Amino acid sequence: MSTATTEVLQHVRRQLRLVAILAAAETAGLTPLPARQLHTVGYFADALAPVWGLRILDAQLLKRAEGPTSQVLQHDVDRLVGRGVLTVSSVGYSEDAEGLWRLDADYSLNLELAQPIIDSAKPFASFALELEYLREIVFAMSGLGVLGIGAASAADASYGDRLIEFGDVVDINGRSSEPNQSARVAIRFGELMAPEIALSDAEKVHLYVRELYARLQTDD
Amino acid sequence: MTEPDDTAIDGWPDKQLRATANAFLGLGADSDMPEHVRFLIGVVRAIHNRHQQEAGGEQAPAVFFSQPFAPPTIAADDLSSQPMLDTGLNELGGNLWFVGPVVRSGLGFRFDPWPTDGDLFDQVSGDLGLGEVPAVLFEPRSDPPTLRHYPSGFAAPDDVAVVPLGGEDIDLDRVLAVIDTAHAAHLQTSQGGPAAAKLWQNRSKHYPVSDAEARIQFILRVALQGAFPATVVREELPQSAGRLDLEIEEVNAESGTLIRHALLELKVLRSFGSTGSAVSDADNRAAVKEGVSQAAVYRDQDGARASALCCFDMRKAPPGTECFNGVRSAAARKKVRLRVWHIFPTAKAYRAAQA
Repeated sequence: MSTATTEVLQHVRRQLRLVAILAAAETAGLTPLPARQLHTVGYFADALAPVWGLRILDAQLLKRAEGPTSQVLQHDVDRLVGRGVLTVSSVGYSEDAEGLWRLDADYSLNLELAQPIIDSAKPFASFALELEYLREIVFAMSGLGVLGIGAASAADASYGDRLIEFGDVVDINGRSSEPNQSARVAIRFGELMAPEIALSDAEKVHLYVRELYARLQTDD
Repeated sequence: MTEPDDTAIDGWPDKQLRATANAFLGLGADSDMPEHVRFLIGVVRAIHNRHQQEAGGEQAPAVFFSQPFAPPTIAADDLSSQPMLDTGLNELGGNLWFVGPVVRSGLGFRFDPWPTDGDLFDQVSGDLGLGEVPAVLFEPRSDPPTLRHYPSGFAAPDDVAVVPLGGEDIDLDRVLAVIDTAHAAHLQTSQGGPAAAKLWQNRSKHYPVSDAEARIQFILRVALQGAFPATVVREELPQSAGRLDLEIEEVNAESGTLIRHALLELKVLRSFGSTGSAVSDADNRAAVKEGVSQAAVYRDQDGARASALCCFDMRKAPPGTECFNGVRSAAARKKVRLRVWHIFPTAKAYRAAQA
């Protein structure tokens, strides 16, 4: 596959990811989804992608007190808003912990334009798997509620790693022999229950989020 | 299971992960199920976990609506947002709950005092405009408590099914009765219905699709999971002697151990392959013989309470139970139940067979 083709496919995957996340959020009753929560779900979709054997899109990002924020993802969001696929509400500005002003908004899908995108992707096996995966990530995280999603990264095995300071880079690429810490914990659920019970990849993701919830409650 | 090893992942002790996995076993196992089945599973899980946390703690009924947002007739200030609705820690009774397909979080609207049944149905279908939303009514005041599923909403009160809350014995008769219903609805003539039910490559020539067994297995799994939402119906589980097809599991609420109610081994009998190559009687007999053995071995390996060999006969031959000739005594000795369901390429072929 040529570099240009790879880049196009990567671009399609990135935009499809956002559409799929917001479609699942709609079904779960989470829309309009605030920017912070959208970025957090995008982060977890990357961090746990190895559990399903999927590729990570944004492997490195700065650790911030507000939680994961990806400029690349925001660029994709802005482009989809520009095309009318996403709709924006509650636009405003807020000052973050570093004293920087940032644009806040809530996002929803314009289903009239978004549904054909999803329908076109479904017949392709690799995209279909990705859509299924993203739906499960959103459904699992929906249990945290909107506020909980905003706080979830603090308890995450990778982003919440206390050895990583704010302003440092969180790298979820993992090493050649093993995935990142978040995916490892999710996979560990399967190892602990085997061989008597063969957990599916979806179960590992749901259990990981359940574990995050327990930790967030303890932290409170 | 793997022995606890607290050093596996720093900061994430195995003991803690195991406790979470045991407490929420089955969470996400329904990821490939239709949303209406996931909704039912989610409601049962929420009620079941609530009962575990505080037996008898629920005094008032609750209604769960399969829509994650409240109607505009309910003011936003009157709604309470409840994350992780299924932890069992929060009171469910006395509320209308608006939930998504997996029933993780919910919006609650408190009904105080709780209306009579007649008023409840009138208000839901009238002022609230929720009459056509699929709903489940939890009634804790009956003995035992009951769950009633209204798949077409309260506006169709006669379209209702009582849903088992779990914790009861599920014997093979109940399991096979569910398969009878699924067979009559989706498999018998296999026309129309979901894409998964397309079982024929060429109906007129009696050629089944190559993955007929997987498609039948999925349809049965959906039916069984919908009928027994407190359980986890697992498929294609790896065993040392091969892979078993379907197993119905449930966590024993009192002991925390896993109950394996039933194990089902599925076989599809064919006259032809998907491309028209002939399948011999000897091949079909061998499959049945192997199925009896697998149903017994997997059951014993897994500690399942019962097992059955479920054959789906797609052959041109007239329907009957001759496929079990030669294995009946072995099956009886091994305590494997034998059942066969016939699948016809057309409704006309079905009617001809009944004549």
